[in-house]
Amino acid sequence: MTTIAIIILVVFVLVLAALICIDIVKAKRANVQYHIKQCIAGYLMMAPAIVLAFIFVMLPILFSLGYAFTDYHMYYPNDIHFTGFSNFTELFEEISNKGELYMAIKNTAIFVVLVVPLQIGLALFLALFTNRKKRGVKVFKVCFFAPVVISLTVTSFLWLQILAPNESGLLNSFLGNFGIGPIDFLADRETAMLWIVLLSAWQGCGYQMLIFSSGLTNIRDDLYEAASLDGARGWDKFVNITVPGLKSTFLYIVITVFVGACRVMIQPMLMTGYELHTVTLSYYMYQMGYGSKLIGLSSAVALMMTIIIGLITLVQRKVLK
Amino acid sequence: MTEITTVTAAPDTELEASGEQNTTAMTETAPAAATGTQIQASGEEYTMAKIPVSKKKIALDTFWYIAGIVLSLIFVMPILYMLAVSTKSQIAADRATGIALFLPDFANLGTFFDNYAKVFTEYGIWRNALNSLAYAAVAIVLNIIVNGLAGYVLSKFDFPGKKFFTAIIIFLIIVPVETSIIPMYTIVTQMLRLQGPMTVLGVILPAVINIFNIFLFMQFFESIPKDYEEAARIDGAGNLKIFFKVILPLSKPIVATVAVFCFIGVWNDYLWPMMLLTPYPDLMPIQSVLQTIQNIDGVTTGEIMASLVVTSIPIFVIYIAAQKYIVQGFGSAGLKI
Amino acid sequence: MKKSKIFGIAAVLTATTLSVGVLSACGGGGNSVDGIRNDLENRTDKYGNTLVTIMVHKDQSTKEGKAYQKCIDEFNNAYKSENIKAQISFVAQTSGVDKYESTISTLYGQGNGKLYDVIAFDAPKCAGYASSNMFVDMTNLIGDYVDEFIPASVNMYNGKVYGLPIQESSAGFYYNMKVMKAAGISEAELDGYKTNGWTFDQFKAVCGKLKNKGKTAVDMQLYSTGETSTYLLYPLGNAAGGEYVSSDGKTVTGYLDSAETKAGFQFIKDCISSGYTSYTVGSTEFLTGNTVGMYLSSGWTIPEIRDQYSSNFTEGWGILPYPHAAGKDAVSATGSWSFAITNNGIGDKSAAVKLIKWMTSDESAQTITAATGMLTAKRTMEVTYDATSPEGVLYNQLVNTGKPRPSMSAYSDFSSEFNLILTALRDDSVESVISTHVTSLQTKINRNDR
Repeated sequence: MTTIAIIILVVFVLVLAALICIDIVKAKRANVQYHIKQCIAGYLMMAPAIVLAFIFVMLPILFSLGYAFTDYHMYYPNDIHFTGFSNFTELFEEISNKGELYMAIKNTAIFVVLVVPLQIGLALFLALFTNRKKRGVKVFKVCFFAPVVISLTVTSFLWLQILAPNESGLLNSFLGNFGIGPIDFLADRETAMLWIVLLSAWQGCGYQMLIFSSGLTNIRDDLYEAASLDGARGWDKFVNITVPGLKSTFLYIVITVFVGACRVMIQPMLMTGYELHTVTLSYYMYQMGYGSKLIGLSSAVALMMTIIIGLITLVQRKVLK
Repeated sequence: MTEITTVTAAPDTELEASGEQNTTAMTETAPAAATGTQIQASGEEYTMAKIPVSKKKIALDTFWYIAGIVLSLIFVMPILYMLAVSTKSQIAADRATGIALFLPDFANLGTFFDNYAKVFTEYGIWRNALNSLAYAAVAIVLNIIVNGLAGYVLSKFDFPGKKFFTAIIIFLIIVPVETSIIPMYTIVTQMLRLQGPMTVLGVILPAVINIFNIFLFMQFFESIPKDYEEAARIDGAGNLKIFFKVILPLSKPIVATVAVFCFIGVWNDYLWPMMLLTPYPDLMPIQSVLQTIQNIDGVTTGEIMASLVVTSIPIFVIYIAAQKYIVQGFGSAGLKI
Repeated sequence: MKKSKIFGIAAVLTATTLSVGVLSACGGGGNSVDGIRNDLENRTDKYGNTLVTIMVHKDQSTKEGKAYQKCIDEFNNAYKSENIKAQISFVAQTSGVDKYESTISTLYGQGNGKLYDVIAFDAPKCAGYASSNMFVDMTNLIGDYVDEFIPASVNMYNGKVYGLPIQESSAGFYYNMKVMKAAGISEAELDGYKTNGWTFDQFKAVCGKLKNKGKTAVDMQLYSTGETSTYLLYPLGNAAGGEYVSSDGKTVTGYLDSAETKAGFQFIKDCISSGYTSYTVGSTEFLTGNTVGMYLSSGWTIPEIRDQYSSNFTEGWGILPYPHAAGKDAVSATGSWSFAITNNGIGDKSAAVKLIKWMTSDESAQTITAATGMLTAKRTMEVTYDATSPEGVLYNQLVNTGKPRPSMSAYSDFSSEFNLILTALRDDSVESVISTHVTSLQTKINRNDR
């Protein structure tokens, strides 16, 4: 593995050297001494960033690409074989057999399909709701934003207590008043994912609300004024001014929320553990790699995810632009 | 109708926020003082319309406030619940019904902070909190220096290979890289062979490098006029001195933004430290100790909630203290697209 | 001149970053400053005592944790004269990233001498650890000592001993006598099943009577997820005379899809399609109401019924053993936590063997089971359960019909496939469900095969 890293490093340095040579040949000969000094100083100052970025950003990506075509097992780092596309055929078989990966994709799809509209809709609604110059609007904004401040870990543990399957759980103690027995919400195969959707939207939408708000303030207000003078009503103004004005913000938010939703992992991990009814793609990938030590397979899942998410993001850009 | 006031408030704000698309301008930074003049203006323009609709307007306003209060309550209810339960003993928490569920246990001020005391002394959460703080501090300083230097070089220097690095940076920002956490784990444990307390490096160093921050610094430094640099260079200052004494002090907003987001990132990170540091409970950051507390035998709901509150407080403080920079960060996030 | 100074600083900065990388790349980083977990590398302390380390999966503050601590204290007293000293570490299991599990794999991944000498582990994981060479084959190290345990409880892999049970558990069908009487089933009939066992057909007959009275005949915890449902339901396939996997744990084709194993799943499917059981029955309905006749659960429900729900069982309750196919042997669930000696680079395992023997001795087993309320796995210990009492039924199952879960390195894959099979049985026929999952499980096993 270290040797592979060194090979990659050598390739990297060679490419860099070639480019430098081209640059030097192209560059004007004037002030060569200053150039050399700047060059050395520049590279020295960039060195820490280059070293760290190489180890922690470039290598993981390249390794992940490479591992996907091997049978790398964490306990046998010296016994790696190139296996071609067999990881991928296995994954597709697992999907067609309705295995774990199928469940993971299904759960992730449920999550994404529900959370993206819910979170964005809620955020847009709240942004429009607070887009008024009134006393107290800031207090409301702080309230809506408050859940963003608490981390995903805290959110998961907090909701774990709220949804606890006994009398001490907030929701069950509330339902108990109506004689509904304690329900184990998160163990229920049908509803567990819905709760995760709900708490994720609750936790995240304040963030998008702020971005929408900033998008709203950037809409030239004289447009509204002109529209009012033309006799446009609230809804017309919303459709004809607000919606086009928010388009770029909207695109940005759709893509970031979508990509974030595809990566969901911490909530199911902390709230239910590795269970078939809540496992998500990222969690499956993590479990294969860290739990089952099958790094090759896990990398194949990661590669698959990158391709799927990349493609959908591209489509979103094309459609929404 | 409520929109009328908003509409007339427009021109001033617009001018202030500059005609160009300034993504960083937020409602919160919009001058509140301007409203006074606006009301006057609206009075002039809409005097005729205003009187007949005022009743309707009041009704709408009232409705808006009620809706706002209800919505806000729904949003903060879980947080209020967390705060309230964290002050209660198990018995008090179980007995509470109705509104008392969301109110702290003022009846027993004597035991108000008992859960916190237990979380700090018996479960030793302060140790993990200090760990998190230390990791965050180191990561922030290195993050600013490492990424700042790279951004400085890429924005101000002219040297062969510059285009190559700029291209790589843009590439890494645009391409959606799906969590490379597993290969990263193999790199840290099998290639770098970090073991024992050295594992901490594996937690901190990945938080130090942030390609997007290099890009942010690059963008910001480019807007600094060359004159400052040249003046310092004439005074005989070297590159590093210029960076630390001239460039960084001129870039306080971006430095603060990067620092704040770095802190939030490190403080809230759960999975990566867990994967690396499990054999070393003394080195664990705070997020992971939450999990330990959950699984202690006989732990009360109040104690769990207290640990959650303790974990959230620094982030709350940061958000309040550094509001401005966070909002700027949101704005700059828009550059990613 | 100043410029060169700045260059110097830059060079130092770079050199530091690089050397950090190089240093750690050489792997020399950990040893010199390692103050934590030092005990793992120093095999003797400054008084010349041989150190032996053990890791358990419970927190020190728990009853079980205290029992382990007590056993270790006694060990240290007893072996003071031999200069052997045991050190125990408590790493509680956690949700999410399981701290216990990942401590084991991280320390093992770090190589020589890092892993604790003796570790506790959940029985079905034995094959996985043993096949990746993490556990030491104890067959010769402990000799006859293994005969002191209930055979089904000893952790075997490929015919060799890799783990010794700390305690045991079993499962069975709990029943509420009030509901049974209402359906016209007598106590004598049930006692007969307890002592002589019962067949699938007898089981179905009882279910039929319960169903005629409008009850849900049996709650098989089909709604349960994860390991629970595997643990509770795997014996039915075995009780139909089938196996899930070959004895070396590498082949499922011809085992999982054998006629016998399918008969076991068919039994579950029959119970579903005849309306005896369902996926929607609530987990507390048996405990709190009178609508469910039987409830398949593990031994941990015994204290629950006694302490919390006794008011619902005014006319008594009990546990029925697992039913079996006519003409086949009965099989029941076993498997709890065990101790193993690890392959951590320490060549001399004599101290570890002494420790593991001590931790599984009758006295220690007494201490631990008293703290946990679970059954003992030692045959040598005297037990005085009445044969028809709940504990008696479970203990008799353990000794006579207990069969561990399939021993395979890809056990977690087996467990999730088993779960998927149970879910799929709701809609599809046994035949089609099994045929898909045979292939997918075989693929997963091959992945782990080295």
